[in-house]
Amino acid sequence: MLLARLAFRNIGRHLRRSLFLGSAIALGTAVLVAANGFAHGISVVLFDKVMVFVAGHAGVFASESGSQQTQIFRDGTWLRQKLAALPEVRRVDEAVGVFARALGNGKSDNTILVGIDTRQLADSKDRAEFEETFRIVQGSWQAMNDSTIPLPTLLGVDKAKALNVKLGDQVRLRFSNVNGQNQAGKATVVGIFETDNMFMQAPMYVGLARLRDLMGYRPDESSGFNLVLHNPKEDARRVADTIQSFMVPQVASIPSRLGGAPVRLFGLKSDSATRAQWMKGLSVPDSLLREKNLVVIPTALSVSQKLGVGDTFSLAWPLRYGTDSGRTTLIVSSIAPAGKLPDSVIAMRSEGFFRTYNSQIPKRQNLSPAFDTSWAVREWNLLPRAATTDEYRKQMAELSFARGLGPVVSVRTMYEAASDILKLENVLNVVTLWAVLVLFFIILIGVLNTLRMTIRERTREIGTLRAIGFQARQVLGLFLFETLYLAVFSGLVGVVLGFGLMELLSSFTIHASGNPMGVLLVNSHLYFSPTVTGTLGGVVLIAILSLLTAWLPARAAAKLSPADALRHHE
Amino acid sequence: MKRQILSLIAVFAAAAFAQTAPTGQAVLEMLEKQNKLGNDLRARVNLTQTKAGQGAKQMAMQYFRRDKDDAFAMLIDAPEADRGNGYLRQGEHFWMYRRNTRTFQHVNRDESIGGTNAHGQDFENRKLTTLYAPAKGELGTPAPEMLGKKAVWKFEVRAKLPDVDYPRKIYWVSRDEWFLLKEQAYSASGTLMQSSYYTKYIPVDGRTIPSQMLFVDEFEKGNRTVVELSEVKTGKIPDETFTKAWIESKSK
Repeated sequence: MLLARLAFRNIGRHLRRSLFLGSAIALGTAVLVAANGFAHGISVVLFDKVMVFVAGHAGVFASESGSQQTQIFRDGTWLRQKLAALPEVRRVDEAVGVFARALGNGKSDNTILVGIDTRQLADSKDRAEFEETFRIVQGSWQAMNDSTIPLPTLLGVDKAKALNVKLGDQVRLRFSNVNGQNQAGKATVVGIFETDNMFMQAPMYVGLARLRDLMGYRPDESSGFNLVLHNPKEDARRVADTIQSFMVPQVASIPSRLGGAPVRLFGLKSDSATRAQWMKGLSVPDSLLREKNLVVIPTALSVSQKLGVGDTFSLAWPLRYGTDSGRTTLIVSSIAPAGKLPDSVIAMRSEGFFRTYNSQIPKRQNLSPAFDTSWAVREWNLLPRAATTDEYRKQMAELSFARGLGPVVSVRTMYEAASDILKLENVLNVVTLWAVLVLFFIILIGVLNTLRMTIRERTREIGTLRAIGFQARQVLGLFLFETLYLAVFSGLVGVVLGFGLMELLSSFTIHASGNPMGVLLVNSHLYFSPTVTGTLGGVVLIAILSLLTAWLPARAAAKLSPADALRHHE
Repeated sequence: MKRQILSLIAVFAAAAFAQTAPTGQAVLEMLEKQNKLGNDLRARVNLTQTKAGQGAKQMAMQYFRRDKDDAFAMLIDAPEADRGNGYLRQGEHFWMYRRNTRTFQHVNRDESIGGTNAHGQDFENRKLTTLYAPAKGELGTPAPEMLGKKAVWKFEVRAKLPDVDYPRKIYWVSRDEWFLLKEQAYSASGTLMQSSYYTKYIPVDGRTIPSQMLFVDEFEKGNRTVVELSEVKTGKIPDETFTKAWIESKSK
């Protein structure tokens, strides 16, 4: 206790020196706190603004065409409900987007049409975030909800310039819908915005519902989904694993009746290896190898329904959504020998089967057939979870192989889908850390030198203390206490200075349009997000480093013999 | 009396027309028959694409088609930057070969050929009657019309399958020879997107196929593509032509 009081008194007695040393420590702390705020700010911007915009923290990708660009999941209502029920999920965004050719006033440009749902912005926080993201300089985003305007659109200043359009002008658009058909639309510019986020400069934003209509999605169908999580870093992988587990597909089939008897239509896998097997097993003639609407019925059904090759028959079934019935008319291509196909099973090649199944999904059923279904297609093909970005890219590159073999579903997190952005964050964090360490090293050399000078100047004082009975370890403790007080007080001052520095730096307006680093700005300002642990950690780190720095000169002082110390003259 | 005679003539003419006017389905089947050669086919294809404000880009390629299994191969000869590149369709798979990297990449049928407006699926031999059916009612019934000096049947078709480029088309088919002379293609929302003109036909194996086609982009005015077929030959093409190894060997 005495040591603590003496140390506190000594700081006051050597006020100028303490102020000098304290200032150096405060400066170091301020830089550390500000650097921490900047690094975490980058993380927040990347995760909550860029990542969410590009791919979500996690998500479900679904394609039928073998193309990465066009996503469709037929049972969209079910999937949305399942995703929204996950406790880790803050928001479920439907990712509707398409590459398009845009024609303005005498100028044209490529763009991406992105659907946004401005009707969801009832919450003031969401609205503030939206307005921060889209800094409208002309018009208003509220006009996106005006049903009297044909296809309202928001576009960036650069895109408006590239298309030579202004507020109220029309932009003609050409793109492909979910089926790959050419589609055209005429959008009206209702808002022009500025943005520092390069990912937002290329697209044109239109109402989600209207884009869905133009793209040809039906009410219960959806595109893929991007998920915004409460704690993306902690939960992304776990959420993806959970989704992967409930997305395991069942065998796809259509239950119906034929002549009063229950029948079930299954899809035959048509990849070359499986196809060769079932063609042989079901005795399908080679001449039907390329018949995509191939329909095989069992002998028993052929006999009971008096159906031969070339005959037609119709099936009807209750649809999963709505009250209508699904219907199809099929032509018998081949009759399977007795015993090769269960009596109530009708098999159709996957291309033809999915054309019917996907456009008229039957009611969800818990089906566990009592026969081998290795030849039958599932509702969709669930890709295994990619462990790395390279694996994910490879899966996406091979999507085109899956065309005609049924829908493909992939569950991914930001760690696979947008790893480049995460790498950017890591690089910025490392650069910031190194810059701080170099700066701090310089400051510590100053602290070390000042402490050595202090102890040298106070050698006779040390001698006096030792002469009146102070032990060596008490002298050591005295200097360490002084340093600790100084470090803690200066550290706290440094925290205040750090916050002031962040306030100052974030007050500067930076115009970074066109610069990729602009993605790190919020409203053209640097964004700092200091954390409690980061800030307190900074103070503790400074205190520990200061104590370590003070250790050597303090130990040297403690080792002085009282006689030598008292004889010491400057 | 004169008016009565004229009315009678009109009734007879209408009756005669009613007897001779084909159904839309019959015209589609005729067009499909014209296109089906039943033989392998090879040709040189010259493609001139003009883009508004960008001038013309010319492309020349060798084209090989085998209908029995829907295979085709293409080797690009010009421009120099694309020379040696190629495309190969084997069964369900469509490959793009890049000479520079000596690699085959599996691509989608929607892939652009050499950066032009032509796509992989444009070169596929898909059955017209599988893809389209005459529109219901009057629109789908061939109506007599003059296209320039040519007497044609004009009628509308609608897609039967969703995965076609255009869900709605209007055809002008010559009445005497059953040649498709003009085609207008509409987007899903009903906007006219492309007009195609089949300006020259050549006899091949007892059938007649278009040898010069003009595709006019109606959406982005000023864009047009002329496709010309020459050195058209039929007859068995060696199976090895439709292999990766052959494309690679020809690209050296």
